[in-house]
Amino acid sequence: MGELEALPDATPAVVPPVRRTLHFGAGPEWSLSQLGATAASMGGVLVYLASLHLAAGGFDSLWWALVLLPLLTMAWAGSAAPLVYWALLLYGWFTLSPAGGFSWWSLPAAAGCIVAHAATALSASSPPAGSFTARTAGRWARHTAVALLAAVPVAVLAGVLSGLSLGIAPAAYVLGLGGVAVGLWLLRTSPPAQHE
Amino acid sequence: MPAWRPRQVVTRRLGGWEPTAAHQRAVILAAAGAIAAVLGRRADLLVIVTPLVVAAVWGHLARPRTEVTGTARLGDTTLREGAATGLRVTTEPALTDVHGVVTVAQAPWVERKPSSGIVELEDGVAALGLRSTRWGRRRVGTVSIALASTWGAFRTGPVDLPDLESATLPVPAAFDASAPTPHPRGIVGLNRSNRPGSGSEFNTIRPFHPGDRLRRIHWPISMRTGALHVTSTFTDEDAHLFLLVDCFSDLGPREGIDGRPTSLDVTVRAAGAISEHFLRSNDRLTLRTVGAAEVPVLGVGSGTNHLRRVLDTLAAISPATERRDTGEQAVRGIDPMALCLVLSPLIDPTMVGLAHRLAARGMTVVVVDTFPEHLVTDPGNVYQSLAWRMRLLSRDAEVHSLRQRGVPVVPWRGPGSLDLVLRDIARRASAPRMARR
Repeated sequence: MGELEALPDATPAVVPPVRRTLHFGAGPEWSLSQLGATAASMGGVLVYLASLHLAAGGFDSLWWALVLLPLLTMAWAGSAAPLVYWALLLYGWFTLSPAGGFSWWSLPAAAGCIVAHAATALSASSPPAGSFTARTAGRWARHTAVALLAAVPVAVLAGVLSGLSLGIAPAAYVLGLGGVAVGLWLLRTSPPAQHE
Repeated sequence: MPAWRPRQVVTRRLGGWEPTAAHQRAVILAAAGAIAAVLGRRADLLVIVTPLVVAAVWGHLARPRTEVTGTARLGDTTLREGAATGLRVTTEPALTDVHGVVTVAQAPWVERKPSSGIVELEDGVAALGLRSTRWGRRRVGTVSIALASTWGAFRTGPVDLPDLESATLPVPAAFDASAPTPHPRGIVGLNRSNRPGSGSEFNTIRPFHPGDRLRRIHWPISMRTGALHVTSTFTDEDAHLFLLVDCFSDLGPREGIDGRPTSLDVTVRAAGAISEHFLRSNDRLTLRTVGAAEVPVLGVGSGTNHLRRVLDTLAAISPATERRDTGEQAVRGIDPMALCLVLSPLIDPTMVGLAHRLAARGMTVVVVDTFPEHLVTDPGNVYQSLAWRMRLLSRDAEVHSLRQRGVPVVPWRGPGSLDLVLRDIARRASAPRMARR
């Protein structure tokens, strides 16, 4: 009977745990983790727009509709759609906020921007039905917090220098553009490796 | 706890790392924002894009530079219906701070746990559960791996690993038969013969002969009579069973082990149950299929190894893949003393014709009707049930013609399905019969 006993036995049917997902029409099912990432992205846009509203002293109410963009483009989180609407939002800050000044509302706006960027990137790294573990979410939250912390000294420095006329504008231009050039050189991407 | 012993391993290199849309977004927004801030003297804009600059630089500096290899290991390649096994996916080297996702595509009759088939890699390892819900040979859903580096800046994959294959053996239905198998003539089985000899069935008590085993001595009789007496037995014999499986028809919805069976489910599970019962009794068994392509030919055999081969053969059946099969090959070279069991829902006329042909050869034939009853009693589909009842009415004429020829047709009911008919056959074999002199 040795061979017979070696045959795998049928195990009783296991009731799988309930997995909650959401369908939008006939589209794919979305996990709660992905919906959470989209909500975080929408929250980031909302914080950004609120900061812009306070920094600019108000704007057309149509701008508030941009809060829905992360939800509308959640299926294309890995595409250029988030780039387009964040370019629009930054352009909005550039045009709506008063030129030449500095607003401390830029700090929460930076928080909203980086939170939305991280949430969209995390969403794009997993299929719609995929879930994130608490460990992954925590790691991304830590990274986001560290990136946001970098904005604080810049904001402090900008806040301090905004009230002063040091006459260093040409030097600041050169240094700023040099920094951008160095940054771009560092971030240049290698050509993709040839497939075998 | 038993050690993890993978039965099938596949591996593939995931390829190079390429920048993602998220990284390009961070770079473009950071660069454009910084330039606009410097040129437009907008310090607040510089503050806003500073975290994006950090994300872009961090993502670039933390870019993985090693090529990763993905490996999937399947725990068991042979399962029983309803049984589960594990799938373990690993990446080498296991990179830190990399977000990895393993996806197992949906495949028929394979349940994934988690049901989405998507699992995150933790320290380069992910584990999923797979449960097979129907007999047959099939591929487990394609396993694909995708890795994203810090900040989702660079990505490799998703890359599909080579397919993993598994065989699911039918779970034999419950079956038992207390009636003897007709025409035993071997020497190793459990069927009683009419010849005295070494066996387990009591025959008589007789005087001791030289050569008798001492353990056979019946001491009470020997003491009473003053002469040695021994217990004699009938010899045990094995019979030959020939199973003919109808693969033309697979009637009813395919719902797997947890749902209602199709006709082929009933047929295959009944064949497994009958094989298990008779092979445990050391009888010889031949299995042939009709109507299925690429089913390996199984010779005569006995014992538990042969049972494994029978179940493997049953798992290889694909219904109605050889419509032109007339069954000629299947019924060729059969032992004339074999008990022929034809398992069929009797919908395809070929099987009825084969049962007639076997009976015409003078063989002992029993047709086991494997038509699933739920097809005619399905309250959810009244018209389909009605259609099946009409089809069964027309089938009754064929069943009647078989009975007229002396071929019993018994519905499959599990344990005891064949008892009555086998006893009838044994009684018929021992009854006086007219013979031509």
